[in-house]
Amino acid sequence: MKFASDLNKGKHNILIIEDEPTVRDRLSYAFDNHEDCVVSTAGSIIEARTAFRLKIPDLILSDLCLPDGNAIDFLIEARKEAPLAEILVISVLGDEKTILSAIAAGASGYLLKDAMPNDIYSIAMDVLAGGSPMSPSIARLVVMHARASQSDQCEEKILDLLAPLTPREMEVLWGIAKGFSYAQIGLQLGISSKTVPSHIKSIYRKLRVDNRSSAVYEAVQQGIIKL
Amino acid sequence: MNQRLRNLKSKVCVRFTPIAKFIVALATVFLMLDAVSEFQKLRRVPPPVCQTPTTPDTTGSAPKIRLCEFDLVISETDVQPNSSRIQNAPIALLIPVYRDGLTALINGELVGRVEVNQLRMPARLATVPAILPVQANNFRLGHNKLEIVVTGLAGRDPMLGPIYVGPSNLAVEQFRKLWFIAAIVPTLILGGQAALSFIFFTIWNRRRQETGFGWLALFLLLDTARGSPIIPAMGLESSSVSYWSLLVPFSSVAFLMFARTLAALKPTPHNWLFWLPPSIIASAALISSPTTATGILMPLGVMVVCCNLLVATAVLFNGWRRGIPEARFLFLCTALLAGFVVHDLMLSLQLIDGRMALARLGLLILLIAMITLMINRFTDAMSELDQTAKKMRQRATEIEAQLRIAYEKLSIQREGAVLAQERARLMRDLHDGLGGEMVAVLALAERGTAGFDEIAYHARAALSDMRLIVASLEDYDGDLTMAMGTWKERAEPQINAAGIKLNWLPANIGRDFHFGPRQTLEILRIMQESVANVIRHAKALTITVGCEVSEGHLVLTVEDDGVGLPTLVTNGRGLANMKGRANSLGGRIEIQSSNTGTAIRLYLSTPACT
Repeated sequence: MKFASDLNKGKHNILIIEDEPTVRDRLSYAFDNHEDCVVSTAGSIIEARTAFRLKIPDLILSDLCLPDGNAIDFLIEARKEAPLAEILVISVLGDEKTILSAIAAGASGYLLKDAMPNDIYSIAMDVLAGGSPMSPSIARLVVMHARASQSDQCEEKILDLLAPLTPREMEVLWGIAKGFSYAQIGLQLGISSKTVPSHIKSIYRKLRVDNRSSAVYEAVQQGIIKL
Repeated sequence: MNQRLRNLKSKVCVRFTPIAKFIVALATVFLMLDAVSEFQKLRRVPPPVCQTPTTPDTTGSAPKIRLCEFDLVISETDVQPNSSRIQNAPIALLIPVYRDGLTALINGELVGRVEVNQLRMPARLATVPAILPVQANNFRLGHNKLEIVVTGLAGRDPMLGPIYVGPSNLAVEQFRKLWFIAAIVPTLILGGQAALSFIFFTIWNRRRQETGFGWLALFLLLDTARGSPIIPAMGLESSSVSYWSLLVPFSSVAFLMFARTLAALKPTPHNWLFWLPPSIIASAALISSPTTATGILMPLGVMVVCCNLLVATAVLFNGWRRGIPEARFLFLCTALLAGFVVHDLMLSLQLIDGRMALARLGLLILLIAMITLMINRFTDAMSELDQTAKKMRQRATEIEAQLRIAYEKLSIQREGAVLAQERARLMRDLHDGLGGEMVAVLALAERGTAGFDEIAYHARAALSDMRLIVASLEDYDGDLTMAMGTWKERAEPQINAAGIKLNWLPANIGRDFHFGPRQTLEILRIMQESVANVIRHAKALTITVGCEVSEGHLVLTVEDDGVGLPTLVTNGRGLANMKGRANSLGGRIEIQSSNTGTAIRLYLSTPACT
């Protein structure tokens, strides 16, 4: 099921939500020389809603803090209306709060604002191709929280997984967190490097937070995680 | 405010001192006596003419007789106006004091006979009074001849006090008052003594160190037993020997012990000797004949009592001299009793004239004094306990408040210290990396000759450092490899953008190497600086970043296959910075540079603290 209009058939509709014009232009520029992408931009949540209704995007690049509020609610709404739309959260620092918020919004990952144009494009394409890249920082966060929630019941659970992670999945996460490539992980764990992405997909499935009852969403709403 | 409240309280709640209580008790007793000493409308019959008929007395136990003849003048005012002659006698004779039985005749006709033998109770404060109603046909207005025969029991002289005459209803009224004093009050006193004895015994039983309570309990018990109105009913009363009086010497010893305690004298091991004389006398009296008992042992007992009383007086006087207020108080009462006893002795030896024995009154005063003292001592202890508890509570509250304040101060200080530490760290972090890069950006932009690439380079470096600072604050659980993984995520795009390939070869380092945020930041900065140098100067194709554990050291390596570091770099600020950071970590840096590449190795030992 494609949400692109007839005019732009076969092209990726990308919605960039960023209030800082310079950064917005910079992100937009990354897709300028690529024929297969149609970019629309928004500087606020209101503009983003309009743009979203005008044309359902395949990929949303969104800053979280916008002049008219937090983008998380909008991103969750967008995912409900367009379940196939992929989301990447834009962040300056790529810190823990950003990552948790990205997971809360159901994002596939995050982009640093100063990322190289080529990298921005390649990450976007990777996500649109259905790949689920997992960065070391996300992996580390998931590992730490999964371990904490398994070892200590009293601790407030930020991440609640749909199912517990298997030992193999934990090992894969450890490898990613330490910056190893898929090949290195495969070598260390004695598995084919081709099976690593499937583990990652499985982890993401367990992580996916598409509804408002999720723990991360609650945590963000209650201000435990401040954006 | 509190002080004022306390002052007000002390004004409102007037506390009775023991002396005040004692005076109140005494006043009550004397008011009671005073109430009965007034005979109102009763008229005293003029003194009689008495004679003691001499009868041959062979046994010494025959009753003695005394014959008294009065001139009884009866006027209209003496007669009860509305008396029914059948039921009530119009006049009555009231005899408050006599001993031990009497028979009254008016104009030669018998009007009444009173025997107090069965009711005689030596402990009584006053003699039981007698009332003799006189029927109308037994007297006439004007002069009448009243003859009264008084009989005394064995060894006791008959005695007759003043006689009053008046309307029978008034006489009965007065008789009831006298009866109350002579019979009811002593019974009440004995009951009270028994109850107090029990109470003091209980107090002593729970607080054995307070021996005063024990002695007082014993004293009261003995005195109660001696004066008990139930004794005649038990059939133990002998007509000639008052065996229960044998308890008096024991009482006197108990009192002596009490006095010693009050005067704060330590008990000596020979104290039991005091109990010897009363025991001997009592034992002897029980086995000897009534005559011996009355004639020899009773006076001996009286002597023992007097001795003990004197010793007690001396002990109390000594206590007074040593400044014990209770001893002074009790000394005065004891001295009074001693005086009364001497008076009674002289009375019994007929050295002085008098009708009333005072010892019992003195003893009552003494008893009231003792009881007042001990009750006061007890209530004082109680209120002191209350005060102590109150003080303790206040103190606890104060201390709690102080502690809370101290705790708050301390936690504020601690928070302040932590804040200051954090601030210092953040300032240093910002100054070391971010600040320098921002200054460089500014300088280059202002100069206007530098290329945009160079400005972008420094701006990127500033951003990188900021991310390093943020990254170092995140939770790695002390696992350096994870921090390195996060760093790699940031560094790799920059390395790749420079056309260099990154070889990532971190080994699993054990839990021995546990780094805190500060150390993590310094390590990441060293790596960042090394990689930045490679990107800028080395013209390398690959960078290999790795870590391993070797000979107890953690070795971090950044190696490239470039052209080696220019002297500008080896002597410059960058490397000096790296060395400084390594020093602050307690580690060292080795740099090997040749035209085939450069290897920078950071050696770290187990951190002493995080």
